[in-house]
Amino acid sequence: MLNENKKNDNELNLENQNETIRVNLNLLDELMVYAGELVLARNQLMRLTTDLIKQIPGLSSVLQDVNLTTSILQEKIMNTRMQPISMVFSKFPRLVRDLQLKTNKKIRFDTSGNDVNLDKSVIENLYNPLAILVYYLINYDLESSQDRIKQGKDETAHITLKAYHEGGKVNVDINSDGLGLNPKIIIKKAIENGIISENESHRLSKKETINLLFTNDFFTFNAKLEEGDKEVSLQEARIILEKIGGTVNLDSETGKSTYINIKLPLTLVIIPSIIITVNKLNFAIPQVSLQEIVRIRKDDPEQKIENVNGAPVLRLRNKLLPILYLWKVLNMKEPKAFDDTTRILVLRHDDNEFGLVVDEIFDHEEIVVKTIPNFFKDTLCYSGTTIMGDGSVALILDVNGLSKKGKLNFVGLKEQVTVEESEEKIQQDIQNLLLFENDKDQFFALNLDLIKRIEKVNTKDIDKVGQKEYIEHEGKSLTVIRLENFLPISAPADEQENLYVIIPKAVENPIGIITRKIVDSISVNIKIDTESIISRGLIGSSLIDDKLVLFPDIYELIELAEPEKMQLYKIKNEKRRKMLLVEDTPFFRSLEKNYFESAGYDVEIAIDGMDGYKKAMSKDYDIFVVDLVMPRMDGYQFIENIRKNDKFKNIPALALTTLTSEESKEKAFKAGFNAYEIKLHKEKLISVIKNLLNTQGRTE
Amino acid sequence: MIQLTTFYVQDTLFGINILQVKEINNQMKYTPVPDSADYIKGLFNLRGQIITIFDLAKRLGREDTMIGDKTRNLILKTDQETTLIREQFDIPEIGNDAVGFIIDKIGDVIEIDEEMIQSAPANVGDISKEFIKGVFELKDELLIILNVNEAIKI
Repeated sequence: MLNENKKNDNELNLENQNETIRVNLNLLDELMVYAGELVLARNQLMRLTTDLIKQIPGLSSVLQDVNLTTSILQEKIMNTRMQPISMVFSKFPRLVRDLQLKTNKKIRFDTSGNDVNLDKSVIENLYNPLAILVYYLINYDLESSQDRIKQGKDETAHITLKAYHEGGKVNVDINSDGLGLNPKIIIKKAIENGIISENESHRLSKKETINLLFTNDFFTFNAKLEEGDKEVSLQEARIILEKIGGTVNLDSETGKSTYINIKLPLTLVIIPSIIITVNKLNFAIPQVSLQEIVRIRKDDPEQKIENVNGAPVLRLRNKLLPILYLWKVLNMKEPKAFDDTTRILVLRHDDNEFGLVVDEIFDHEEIVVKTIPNFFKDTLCYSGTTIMGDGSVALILDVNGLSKKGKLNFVGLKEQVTVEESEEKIQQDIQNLLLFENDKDQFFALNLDLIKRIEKVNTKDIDKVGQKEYIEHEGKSLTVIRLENFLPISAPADEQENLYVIIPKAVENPIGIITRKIVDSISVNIKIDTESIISRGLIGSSLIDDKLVLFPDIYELIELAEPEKMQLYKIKNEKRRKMLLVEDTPFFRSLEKNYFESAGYDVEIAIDGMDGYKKAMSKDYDIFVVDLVMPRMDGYQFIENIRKNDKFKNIPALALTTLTSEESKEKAFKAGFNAYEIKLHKEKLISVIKNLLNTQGRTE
Repeated sequence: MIQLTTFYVQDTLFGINILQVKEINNQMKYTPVPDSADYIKGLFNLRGQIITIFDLAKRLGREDTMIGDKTRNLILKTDQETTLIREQFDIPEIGNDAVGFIIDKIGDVIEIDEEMIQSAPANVGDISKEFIKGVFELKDELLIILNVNEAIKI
């Protein structure tokens, strides 16, 4: 086996057959450590000599040399651990050939991206999972030649293995043009095997359903791996890939093709991370888990951490994000607030997101990962250690462990994810509901999408003027209503001191709905019965967990309470403008999207100029907001192309940038932009966009 | 004959086989590890190696060690570093995580006859039996030979 591998490698590397020697891996690891030390020493040297540079002629250039050489040295040593993925790929033609004979199927097999490099530790663990997946595809996905001909497909099936870089990761795609997967069959089998319940099955999207194949021992078969024949499952492939820091995703077009995407880290030794502090203590968090950073000012009326069922949550766009305080999870003393901003890292593990409250957030840093001593394995919170620029040790936080330790319960807070998926879910009648109780055993539910926020109020804070009641909210008085005044229900028997006010979204002059108790937020598949209980202000009723739950109709309630205000809501809803946001950096993308959505725009996203151009051609937008520096097609090219089309001549376009030079500003206007703004000036951006839309509206 | 590195935890004298000691230093900047055992002082970087420092006094059930002029870290060799000599000199395996103790004062290196080491009595003062590998009577004080494995047990 070993000799065969070697032969294959040689075949592939004929053109660049450099001389090589064998080096003990321990030696390389030691070299890495010393290179790291050298970097630290260099940093100290640079700091100590800054004052001497003027006094000693020539020192500056020597220091620069030391600086540069050290960096290069470290990088080169790092590179010694990198190996081409062809070392793994080269084993596959033979595997496919063998299987071809065994299964009597005709297969064309291609690989590409053979020169993509990965860390040795990743490469070493890659063969088995890939082999399991290829076994699966050939045995179970590909049809026999006869069947293929019957279906009008090419007699020869086609499987490709493709490696490429994307977003700082190495991607490996495996494509096959076989049967594809049928979600219905998967669901049936999953229910039979007790992997999911009938109820749960309705909640799954197509993609989630297909990826069930990777859970439990859903599907087992025999495969020949490095260590010989073995009974394996697709779950096993996933577990190995996750162990080496990767992720795997399955997608399929039923009857046509199966597509597997694997994302792998370049190296396990060096990972991009973000450095944060709590109580002045540094911690590193792997960048892969970080979704976004949210900063909340103390007096921000839009965003704050609230309590739902005694657990802190943050309302972030359409989601309820469970919140953990790092100091609490780590049993530290409560940090003193040093300013009025709460900093939250939105972290993701598997499909669960949560917010982690920290004191300070520093820069992104590439850190060298060292193992965590066994003494700390029990705490779950740490996945490794690293040495910071000043030579001190910092702990690397384990995102999975933190969420486990914090005992986060994601079930009730399942997010509503992206537009496509939520559309799919609406059809399946999946609803994210806020369950509340007005009187004992008198339950109500509202769709979370309709709710802006929930306020806790004291009975004393409710002012009564005539028949109407008000509370003070964000400096204004807010009309509040009691459901028992409008719906055929009984009033609560006794007065309670603390009440909640639910404030709905998308209403110009909102009203609040008073309730006594917030029960839970749930994600359920329900059918609302609109016949049993009929009343104005009520959509209908439903049974949830054997309890009768009423669904108030917010807008009808507003109409009942304040007929004159309804008008405004309708107008606002009609006037929502469509914006195409073209931005390649995920961080800015989510941030900007958030800005503009909160300002009332319908935001669609394009991930670069090319994507933006395609979207612009296929849909109507009221305004383009475009980043200037992007891959494939930059902002200048984008707008030039757009302006060539008469249809888009008058649509306002705003250039978003971090470049502040007059030159780039001039270039942007020349290319066809109507305005030029620096990123992250939220208020300014929104007012500029408003002006653009107004002036443009007049000229049309 | 066996050579011991001796050191004080408050006024109790301890000894460890000198071959097991990697180095003694006075780097007192530790990174504390929240949510870990209270007798772990923290971590520090010794030329790229992460060392876990145990507060020996605390581990023995006393108060935390106060850092003063004479406070030192006594750093032990890992199994990897003792591979070649372990069997020959009867050095215990302690694992491959680098560890050290924070101690109050370093003492002399002494050479004693292994035959003269007595097995641990029930306890010595406030120090319970499991931490004691043996005792040796010096001229004017009692030397406790530390059971390293027990001291770094979590």
